[in-house]
Amino acid sequence: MKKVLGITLVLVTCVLLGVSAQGAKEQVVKPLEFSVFYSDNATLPFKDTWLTVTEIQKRTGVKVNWEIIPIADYKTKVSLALNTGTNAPDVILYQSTKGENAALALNGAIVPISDYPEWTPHFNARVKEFGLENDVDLLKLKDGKRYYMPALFDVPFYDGGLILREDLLKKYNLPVPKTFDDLYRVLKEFKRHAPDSYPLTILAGPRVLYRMTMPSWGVSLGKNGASGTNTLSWDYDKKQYFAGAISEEYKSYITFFRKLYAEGLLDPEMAEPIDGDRWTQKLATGKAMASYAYYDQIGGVEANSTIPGFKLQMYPALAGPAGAHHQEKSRTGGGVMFPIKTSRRADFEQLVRAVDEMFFSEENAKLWCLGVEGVTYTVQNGKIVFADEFVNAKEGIYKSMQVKHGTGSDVTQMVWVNAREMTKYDDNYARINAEVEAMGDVIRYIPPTPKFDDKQAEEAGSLQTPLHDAWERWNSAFLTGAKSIDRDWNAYVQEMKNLGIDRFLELYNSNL
Amino acid sequence: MLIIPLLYFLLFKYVPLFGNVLAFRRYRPGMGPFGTEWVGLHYFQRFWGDPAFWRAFRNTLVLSLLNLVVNFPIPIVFAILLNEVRILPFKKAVQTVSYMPRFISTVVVIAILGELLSPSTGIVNIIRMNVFGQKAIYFINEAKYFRWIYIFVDTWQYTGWTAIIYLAAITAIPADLYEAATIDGATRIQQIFYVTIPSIMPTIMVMLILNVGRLLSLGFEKVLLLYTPDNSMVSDIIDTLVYRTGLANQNYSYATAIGLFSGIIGVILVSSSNFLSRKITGEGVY
Repeated sequence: MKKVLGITLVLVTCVLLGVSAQGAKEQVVKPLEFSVFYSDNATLPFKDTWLTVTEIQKRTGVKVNWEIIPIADYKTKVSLALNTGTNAPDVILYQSTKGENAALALNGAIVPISDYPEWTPHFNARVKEFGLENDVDLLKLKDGKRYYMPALFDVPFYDGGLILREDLLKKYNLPVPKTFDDLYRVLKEFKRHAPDSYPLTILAGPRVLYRMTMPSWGVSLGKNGASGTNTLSWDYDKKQYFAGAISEEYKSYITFFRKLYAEGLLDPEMAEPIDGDRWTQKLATGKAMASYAYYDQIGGVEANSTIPGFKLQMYPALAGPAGAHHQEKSRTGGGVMFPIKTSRRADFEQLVRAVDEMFFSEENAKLWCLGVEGVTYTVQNGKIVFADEFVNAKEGIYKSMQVKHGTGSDVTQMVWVNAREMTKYDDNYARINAEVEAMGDVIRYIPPTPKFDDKQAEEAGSLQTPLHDAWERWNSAFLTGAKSIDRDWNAYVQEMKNLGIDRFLELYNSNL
Repeated sequence: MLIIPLLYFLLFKYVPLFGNVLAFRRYRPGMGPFGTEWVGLHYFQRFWGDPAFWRAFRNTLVLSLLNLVVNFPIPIVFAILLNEVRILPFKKAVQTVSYMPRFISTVVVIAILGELLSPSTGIVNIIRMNVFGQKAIYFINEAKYFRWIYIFVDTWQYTGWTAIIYLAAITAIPADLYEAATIDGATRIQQIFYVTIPSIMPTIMVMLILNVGRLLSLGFEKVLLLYTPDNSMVSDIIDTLVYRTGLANQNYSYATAIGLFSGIIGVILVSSSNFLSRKITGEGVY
């Protein structure tokens, strides 16, 4: 017994000595520790052993307690934490002040981080570097304060769009489509050669098709409409909203797609849920030859196809009546938010400064994107060269590195430099992106959110859902021909007016 | 031991009742869970004046009643038939196979359904096209099929499960009743009608009253998953409406008001059917 005690004592002393010798620096300042809400995605499960996660804590000397919450529950969890104030973490990632958060912010549940610019030097520097002063200014609420630090993009990506069979274009001697009328001719030709097919198929419900094509008509409506209003659209010249759902622009849009549907060029199987496998099979077996989808899905389809010479290619946005545009994108994204409770911590300033450095400093921005130099990549003659295991990975550099090390996760990466991102993709993708960038304003900004107080927000919210429901119903009926666009259009407009689309529009335009 | 279920009911069934106060108060985010000011019947008036609510109300009732008419008798008939089976292994096998679907998650059931009924790859449409030369029907997206799909899935999923309750009731019938009936010369069919059914009548009535009480609460996930804009005219029920207007838009007071309203309708339905049941058959839950 004595012996055991003796050995233990010696061991403990050794450990203590070792610690104090090694950790002399940390002993002086108590290491900063805080908790973070992280939105976890099933396709990219969080690991606290990720190189990015361990490295960032090592670099900043901060201990982060990650609370991993499945993305499906995230909104509820965050809402609950902010509403009650209890159990709130110190930092919440992947947040903006759209929707309920705006009301929570105005009612004092969230730290107005724009009040402390001197504590966020790295964030300020990136905003200036990317020229995002205006975009960031637009995130201010009715009281003139901004309540989160958004993710920042220097140039928006063209990550999805029209994808079609390049081999068939060549085989039938068709020119690359530049306009939607070209696309119609291409689909018509595809259908002529394969009468059983529906040339243009739909991924995950029509919302993907709508959000990527509507901007070329000057509208953006539905579940994924750019403004989040479902039935209003933004006039980029007049800089105000208009009732997109009952506009001539939309009428022309739905007339075009009705034509595709009626002639069997558009896949009628479009009710959600559509699973990705069925979509892949349709394209891979030649039952469909085109779709609106994302670039990183091409590989999966090609791998599944046994058709000789099968080749899918992504094309820049097609021109419609309002020019060639793609789904609108913000140059700011979801970012870091502090619940009001955090500001009562004695080390609040230190915490904000640490968060600013973790996510927005030049060095750490590189870490979240590329990993650690010497481990995941090396720089040779000024060019980034990734480790062989990623270059040779079947699923590509971007995905393999993301899963293994947590780079490029849109929850933790706050600084997105297009040129740097492109090093993770193939040359073809970089070429398409360069082409789209050269076309000018293909990807326009997301319309500004009006500055509602919570009463106005409630009124707008109560008008929004019935209008959206009605639009979805009519849109579907126009598309499938259950209602005639020529004969029933006025009845549709009347119904939307009865549901208060004018009042809805007025609420938005008078609070910009 | 009794304290655990008591605590469960207290915590999860009775305490939340107080949350109903939110139906009469304005909820403002971040300013307390019980709302900030009294607004009287403001939120009730809002949905009473909303045609979408009444459409949802009608859809809920129609779907529920249809479901009740079809799916209430089926488990009873099934249980009685199963009781008459004399080959024990066969009986057990049927029972197991029929109640298994109860344990499959709704999401999976709807995914299977989507596979079976898909117009491009679904087996049903492939048979229709290749064997009968008919055109493919997009079952999931057409309003006229929605109710029957919903009811059929319920039959498939719950018949075996609900039948267990009736089977248990049948097992409890004293054997001497059947003996006496046999001595009096009753055939097997007559035994079912004059012994089995009257003996399980109390169980049937209790189940009926409970089902009537649940008329306004349908299988929410199933409807939500089957909902498409094209079938919304018949598939939008109270729960999905509350989900879209109340929860998706964080309009908690409004959602509470509708919830309270359907709760009250439920209480009225239960007590009136209980009253009728006592009058007619002498059986009741209370």
